[in-house]
Amino acid sequence: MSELPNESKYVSAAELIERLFTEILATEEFDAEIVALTKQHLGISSPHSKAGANLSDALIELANKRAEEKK
Amino acid sequence: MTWIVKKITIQGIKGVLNRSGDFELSKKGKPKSIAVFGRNAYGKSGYADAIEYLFSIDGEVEHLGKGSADSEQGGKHALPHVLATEKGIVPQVSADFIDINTGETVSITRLVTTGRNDIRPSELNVLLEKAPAYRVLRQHDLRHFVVDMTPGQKFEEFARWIGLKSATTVLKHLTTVEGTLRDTSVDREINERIRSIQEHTLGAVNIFDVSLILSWCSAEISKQLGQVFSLARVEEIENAIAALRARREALVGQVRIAKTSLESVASEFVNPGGYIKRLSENFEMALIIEKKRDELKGKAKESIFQEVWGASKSFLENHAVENCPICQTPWNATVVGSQETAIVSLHSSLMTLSELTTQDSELQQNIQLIKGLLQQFETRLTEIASYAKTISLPDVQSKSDELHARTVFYQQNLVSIIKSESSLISLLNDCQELVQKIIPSAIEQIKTDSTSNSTDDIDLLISHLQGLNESIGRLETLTQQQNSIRNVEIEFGKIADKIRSETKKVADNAVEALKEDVQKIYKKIHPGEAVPNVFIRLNTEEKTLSIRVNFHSNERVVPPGGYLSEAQINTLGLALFLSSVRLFNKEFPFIFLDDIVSSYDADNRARIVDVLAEDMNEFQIFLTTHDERFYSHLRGRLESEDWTFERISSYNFENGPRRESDNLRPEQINELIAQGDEKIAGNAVRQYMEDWFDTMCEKYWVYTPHKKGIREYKRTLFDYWEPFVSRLSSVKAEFGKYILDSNAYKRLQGGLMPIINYYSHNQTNPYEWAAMGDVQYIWVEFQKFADLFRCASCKKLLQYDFNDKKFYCTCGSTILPSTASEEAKPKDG
Repeated sequence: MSELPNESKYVSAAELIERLFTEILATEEFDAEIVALTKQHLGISSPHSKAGANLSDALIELANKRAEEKK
Repeated sequence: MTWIVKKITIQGIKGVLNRSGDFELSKKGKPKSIAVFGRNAYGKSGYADAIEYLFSIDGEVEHLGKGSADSEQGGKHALPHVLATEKGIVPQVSADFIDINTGETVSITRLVTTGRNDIRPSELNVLLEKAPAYRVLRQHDLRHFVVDMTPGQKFEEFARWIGLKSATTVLKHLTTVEGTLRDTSVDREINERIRSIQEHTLGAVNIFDVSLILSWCSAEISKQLGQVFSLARVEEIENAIAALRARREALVGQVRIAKTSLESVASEFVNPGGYIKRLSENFEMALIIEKKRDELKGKAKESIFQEVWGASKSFLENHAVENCPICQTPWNATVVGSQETAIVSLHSSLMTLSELTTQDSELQQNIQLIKGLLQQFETRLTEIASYAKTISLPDVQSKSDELHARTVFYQQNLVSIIKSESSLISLLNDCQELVQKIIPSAIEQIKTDSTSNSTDDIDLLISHLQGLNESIGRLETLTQQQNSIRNVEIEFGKIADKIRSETKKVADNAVEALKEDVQKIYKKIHPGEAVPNVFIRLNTEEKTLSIRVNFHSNERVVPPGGYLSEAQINTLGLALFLSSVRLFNKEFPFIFLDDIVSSYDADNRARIVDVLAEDMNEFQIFLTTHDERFYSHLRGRLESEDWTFERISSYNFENGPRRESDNLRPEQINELIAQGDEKIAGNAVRQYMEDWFDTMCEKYWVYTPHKKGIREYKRTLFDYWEPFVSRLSSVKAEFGKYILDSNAYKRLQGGLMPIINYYSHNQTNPYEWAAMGDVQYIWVEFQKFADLFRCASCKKLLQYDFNDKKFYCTCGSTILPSTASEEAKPKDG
C-alpha cells in the first residue's frame, strides 16, 4: 500500500484559515482585537463580497475608540 | 471523515435507458472499486458522463461543450437518452454516499436539466468541498492540464484544488482593508488645523508645537494686558481670555469716560460763556482798544513834551507873558495866538496823553486776559487730543493738535496778531468747527462696546486665542486618532503579512507535494527512462501556474508540449490527476477513469495497473476500458481486492449496455487462446485456475497459507496447489488416490503449474513468458484435472464431508468412473 502524500506538509486553504485564527494569529505577537475582527469578517468559509470594506470600517471604529480611551 | 460511494443509479442518460445503470459500490460498509470492460461504442463513457454530470457544479459535462448553435458539440442536450421521453423515463443519476467513519449518509438524485439553471444539489457540497480536485479523468483529458490549459486556467484549477480561491478572496479583502486604512487619514484636517494655527498666530507658528504656540500667546497677551502673562499649559488659555476680557471691559469704561469728557470739554468752547465767545469778545475788545490807542497815539505824537507841557501850563496859568516862554515868539505870532489859548491847548494835549496811558493799561489787561484764555484754550485742546486718542478719533486728535499748535503760536505772538486783526478769528472759527462739527460727528460714529483700536486688538487676540485653543484641542484629538489609525494599520499589516506568507507557504507546500508525487508516479510508469525534473511554478500574484520539465539537461527547462512524447505527456497528465486526488481528495477518495490507457504500450499499461494497485489502493475507483490487455492485467492484479470486474458483452440501442460479471468462462478462454496473444490467454488461464482453486479450497475445507487482505494479490497458484493436494492425500476411500494417480494431476504437478504461474501478477521476470502452446496445453490438462471433481454419474461438482473426510455427490451414485480410462474429458477443446 502506498501512503498518501505527507499530510503535515500540506494543508488545504480552508484548514489554513482555521489554523490561522485558532493558532497562528492567536499569539501575543498579534493584536487580539484586530485578529478577532479579521476573523469575524474574513475567517469564514464564504466571506461577504464587501467583507474588506466592512472590516475596514470596523478597524477604523476600533482605532477611534482607542484614541478616545487614550484621552 | 471519509466518504465513499455506496451506490450509483443511472437512467435515461446517454446509452443507458432503464437497465444496466445500477452499481453497488460497497460491501459490508467497505468501498468497492469497479472495472468495466467493453468494446468501443458499448456505452462505457455514458457512465462517465452521468457521473461527471452528478458532480458538476453547473451541470456541465466538459467534453460535451456548451452546445451553442454554432458548436459542433451537443452540449447538455446530448445527455438524455434520445428515447427517454418516449419511454417515459426521467433522465437522472442518483447516488448514495456514506461516511465510513461516522455512518452518516447522503442520498442525491440529480435530474438532468438541459436549461441553464442547473445548480448542483447542495447536499453534495459537503463532500465535494472537502475533495475539490477533479475526479473524472478521460483519455482526452490526460494532456489537457499539461498542454492545453493556459497558465491562468491551470491556476484556477489548482486554486480550486487547494481551496486557494477562498484564500485569494481573503487576500483580496486584505488588500482592500490595507488600502482603506492607508487612505484613512486625518492629515487633511490636521493640515487645515495647522493652517488655522498659522493664521491665528499671524504666521509666527506654522507647525503643531504647543510650546511655540503658548509662547506666542504669552507674548501677545502680555502686550495687551500691559504686563507679563505666561502660559504654561493649553488649559490656561481660557484664563488668559478671561483676563483679556476684563482688560477690554476696563478699556471700554475708559472710552466712555473719554467720550463724556470730550463732550464736556467741547461744550466749554461753545457754551454761552465759553472760551470761543470770551476769546472772541476779548479779542474784539483788544482790537478796539488798539484802534483807540492808535488814535490817541496820533494825537499824542508830541507826548514827549508832556513834562514840558505840564511845566508850561503851570507857568502860564500863574504867569502872564507876552511871548511864548519856550520859543520866545510873541503870542500873536504863534499858532495859538494868545496865552489863554495856549493854556487851553496844553490842557487838551495833556488830557489826550492821560487817556493814551489809560488805553495802554486797558490793552495790557486785555492782552493778559486773552493770553489766559488762550492758555485754557491750549489746555482744553490738549485734553481733546488726549481723549480723542483714547477713543481713537484720529481726525479729532489731529485737528486738536493743529489748533493747539496754532494756539501756542497766538499766545507767543499775540500783540502782533492783535494788530493784524483777523488771525485769531480764524483760529476761533476752526475751534468752533472742531467742537461743533468734527467732534460730534466723530462721537456719533463711536460704538458703545467696541470703541477703540485697543479693544479691537483685544477682541482680535481673544478670537485668535479661541481659535488656537480649539485647534490645539482638535489637533490633539486628531493626532491621537492618526496615531491610533496608524497603529491599527501597522498591526493589521502584520496580520495580513502573516496570512499572505502562510497562504503562500500552503500553496508552495501543495505545489511541492504535488511535484514530488507527480514525479514518483511518473517514474513508476516510465521506470527505465530518465525522469524529467518537473517544475510546477505557482505565481499567486499573477494567478498563473505553469509546468516545465528538464529536457535532457538540467539547464534546459522547457514546456512539456512539443518536447515530451505523447505517452510522456499523457503520463504527466495522469500523474498530475492522480497526485491531485491523492493530495486533495482524501476525504472523498472516489475517481472515475474512462479509458485512460489507449495511448500506452503494454508495459506502460501494466505499470499503470501497478500505480492503481499500489498508489491508489485507498481510493474507490470506477474504471472503464476497451483495452483487454489492460483490463486483464488489472483483473489479475486486483481481482482479490475489493474490486468488481464486469464486461459489457453487447450493446443495444433500446436496452443499453449488457453487463456481465466477469468470471471467466471456458469458452471465453478458448476465444482468447484462439486470438493468439499468449500473455492475455495465459493470464486468463491462470486467473481461471486461481478462481477454481480458490472456490474449491473453500468448498473442500482446504487451509491455504495466503491471507485475505491488502497483499492478497500476491497469492500464487502454489498457495492453493500444495494445500489442495495435501487435502486430497488425507481423504478416505480411493478418491484421493484416484486423483493423485491421474495423468492430469501428474502433468500439472510435473511442471506445468510453474509455467502457468509465469503469468502471475507476481511475476518478477517479464521476459519469462510461456509460449501459446504451453498455455493451450496447460489449459487442456487443467480442464481434465477439474473434471475429476465432477460426479462420474451425474457430472455435478462433488461435495466434501469434513467430518467423514470423504467426497460424495448429492445424487448418491458412485462418484468414480468405472475404469481409469473413463477419466473425465474436458467438455471443450
